[in-house]
Amino acid sequence: MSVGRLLLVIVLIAFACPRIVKAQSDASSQASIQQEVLKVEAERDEAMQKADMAVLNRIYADNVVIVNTRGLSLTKAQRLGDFQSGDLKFLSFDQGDYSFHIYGDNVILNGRANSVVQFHGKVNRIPRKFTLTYIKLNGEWRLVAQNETLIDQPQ
Amino acid sequence: MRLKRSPCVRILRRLVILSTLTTTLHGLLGAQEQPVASQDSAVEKEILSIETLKNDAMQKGDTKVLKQIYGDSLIFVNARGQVLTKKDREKEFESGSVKYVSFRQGDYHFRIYGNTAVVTGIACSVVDYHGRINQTPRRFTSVYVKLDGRWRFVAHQATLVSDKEPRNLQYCSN
Repeated sequence: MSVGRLLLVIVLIAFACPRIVKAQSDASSQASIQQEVLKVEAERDEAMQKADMAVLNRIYADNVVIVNTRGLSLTKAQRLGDFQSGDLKFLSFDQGDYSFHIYGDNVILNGRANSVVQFHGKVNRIPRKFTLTYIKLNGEWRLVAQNETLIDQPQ
Repeated sequence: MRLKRSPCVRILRRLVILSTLTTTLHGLLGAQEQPVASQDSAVEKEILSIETLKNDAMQKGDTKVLKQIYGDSLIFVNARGQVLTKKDREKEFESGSVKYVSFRQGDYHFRIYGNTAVVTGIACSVVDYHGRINQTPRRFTSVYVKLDGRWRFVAHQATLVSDKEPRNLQYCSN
């Protein structure tokens, strides 16, 4: 190999190396964020079924905004109140089909819920699509927005 | 045998430490739960102006503008619970399968967390969507993220308002 070619190879490696390292680091960081958020989401799912207010209080951000399947916008106090009073109960729980979009300390999580829910005396069995926005605030992943929509609902 | 680290590796290592420190500092200082009010107000104005541009482009089917506003990984859940990508959404406007018969959107509420803005609102627009007219008000959540210095629309979900509580429909009836 000529000296010119060798230099070219060195330049190419020097150029590509940081990018490869960065791409690997980004992928590993994204996977780790995904795992962290999934863990919080699993805790929230369990807490919702048990109406565990301490856990829900920790996960929901103070300014969380929740749009439920009826198109009602709820605050943290309202949502926690629904769990505490028993106005919101899970008769069965099935949630998954997650997809993640990660933007640094912001995670957009989409999924599907097939749970049967009793909300203020009315039972809802229709599957729902949801979008959750998690943000890392003071080192903790907090749920800052949630929107739920019935799938193929009659109009 | 222990290999001596090259200067390139040392520089890289320092950069990694520096970026970790910067990220940690950003986490501690940037994304506070109670952000500074004046900064929030400026961000709200910025987002509102983008929303206005987006609303205008949607009515005109101007996909050039929409392309600039939509994040590449946009995830859009419509009022039927269908999940659409940026391309799906652009195609709908290009093909004319989404058309606004009338346009009204407002009752905006903002929550700003550093480089993320969560916007909720209500849409009372009448939409011809794949040949079906929808006149039911929708409550929506949109998420904007600042990417490379520009606010981009990265997530949206709309839900039909079936709850007849007056506060829910007040905006559309005025």
